[in-house]
Amino acid sequence: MRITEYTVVVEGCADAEALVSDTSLSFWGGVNASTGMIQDVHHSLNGQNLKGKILCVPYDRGSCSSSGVMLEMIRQGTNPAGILCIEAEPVLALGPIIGEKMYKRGIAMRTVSEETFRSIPENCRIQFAEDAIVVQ
Amino acid sequence: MFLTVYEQEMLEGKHGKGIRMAMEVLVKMGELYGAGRLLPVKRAHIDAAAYTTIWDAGTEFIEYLADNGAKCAVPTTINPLSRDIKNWRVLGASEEFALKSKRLEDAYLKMGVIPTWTCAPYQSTNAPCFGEIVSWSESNAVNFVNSVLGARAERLPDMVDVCCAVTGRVPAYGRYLDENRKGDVLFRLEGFDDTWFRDSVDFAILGYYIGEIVVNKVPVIEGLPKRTMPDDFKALSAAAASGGAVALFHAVGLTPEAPTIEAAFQETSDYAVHIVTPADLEAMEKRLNTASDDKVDMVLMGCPHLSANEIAEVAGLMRGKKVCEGTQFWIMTCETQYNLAVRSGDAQILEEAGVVITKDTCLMEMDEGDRRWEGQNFVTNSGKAAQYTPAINGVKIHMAGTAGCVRAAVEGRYSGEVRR
Repeated sequence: MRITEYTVVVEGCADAEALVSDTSLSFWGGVNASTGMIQDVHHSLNGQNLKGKILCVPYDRGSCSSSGVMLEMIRQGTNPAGILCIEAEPVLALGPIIGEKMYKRGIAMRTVSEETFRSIPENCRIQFAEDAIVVQ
Repeated sequence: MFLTVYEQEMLEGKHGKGIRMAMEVLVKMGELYGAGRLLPVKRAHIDAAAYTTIWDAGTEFIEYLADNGAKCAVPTTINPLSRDIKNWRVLGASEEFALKSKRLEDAYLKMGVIPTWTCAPYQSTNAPCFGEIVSWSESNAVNFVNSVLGARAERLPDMVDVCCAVTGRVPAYGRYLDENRKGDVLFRLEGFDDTWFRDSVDFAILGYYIGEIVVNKVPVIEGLPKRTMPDDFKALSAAAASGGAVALFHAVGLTPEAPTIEAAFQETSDYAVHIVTPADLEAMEKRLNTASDDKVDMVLMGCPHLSANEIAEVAGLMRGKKVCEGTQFWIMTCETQYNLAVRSGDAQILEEAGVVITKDTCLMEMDEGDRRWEGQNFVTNSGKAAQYTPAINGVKIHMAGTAGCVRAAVEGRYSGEVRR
């Protein structure tokens, strides 16, 4: 699948295995910043490691501290390579944006329509290319 | 994005490198979210206080602002820390960990925060007025001041909250704008008899249930009793912002932007209706109850921080009783509410009964991956704690109301029928 209708929230290209869930995620409390492990027992991706992957969740949720956790993940290099969602609220986007200012690296982030998001299969590889999102 | 002359000066660095960094973040954020301008705020609340929420990277950012001349431009309160300032040793923190917290505390004091160290600032020092534009963070507090007080707030991310406090500005986006305060989904409560919603735990479970369904939309709740108190709304606010990302809800006839259903939906009628029954909340509670046996290692209340009123209620139930050996009972609050409880004598009743009252901090923010409570069973009345303690602390949950929490602490075991 080649998606050409999307919005870039945080610039950047990425190509990695995807972790896909229809449940939104709070990075604070939901992810271990030092390891990248998802630890929310109520989340379908519990026990999976985000590091280097492309995370696909519909929205953010929960704590305002998720930006802090994401910034620390960027510092430690445990961050996902990219995030794909329906809406990227500031709590999700601003950690990577501050990461770019402080460490010159962020987390590529793009949004797609709800319909497109729901069509992404559970097991896939996703590429954030210059001009498209390629789902394989 | 339109900037005033003064804002332009801040962006150009005329008011110091710290302010410049803060403005750069706000302008970038404003452009990303389509804000045409910045709004001046009269007060602020900062979330990014605990070391275990923003870690070394966040500490570096906050210190950069503080060391480069940034100071709070408006009265600014702040969230719990990763340590109890007076009792961190007793509560099991290492020297090294306490110093990490102190580094952040010092940076914030240098910026001139009002050192409340609480997640419920709206119950002590910092309660915005109706319609007031504020720079706010801490998901429960955003939801409370938006919904219950009718102030204008948004879920500002950690660190952005600090950028707003030092510039006195916030991007004009989201729930700051009239059109985004309209209700999206009506939750109609049906079949709840008078035994329901007498304890804040029912509000917590309802909040979590609604949050999961709407995620970041605006729920309108119809059917809550007139006797609903601010402490109940606090539980609902926190849980709806944990089960989902609710920044604003309306309760018909109770919250200021919802005198009627029509007002809550801004006179529109194309909203979805969701019926909530007792069976829905019972099923929700069952999902939050992850503990499989009746052992009780810890009873945890105070997420968000308890008010003096709630502390008095617990003290009334604890009077003449003792916390069971082998069980801990922690109540989390701030120094301000604690001092009121000392004056009333309630703190002494609780402490003599073996209850630990923590100040300035939160159990979930004291644990730097040491998982000292791993595998334990926690009893709590908080939907927010039920969401986060299993993940952060590796514990299992029993939900209970205030009376149920007290009984669990005294008996050292949990029995389902004690909830209400």
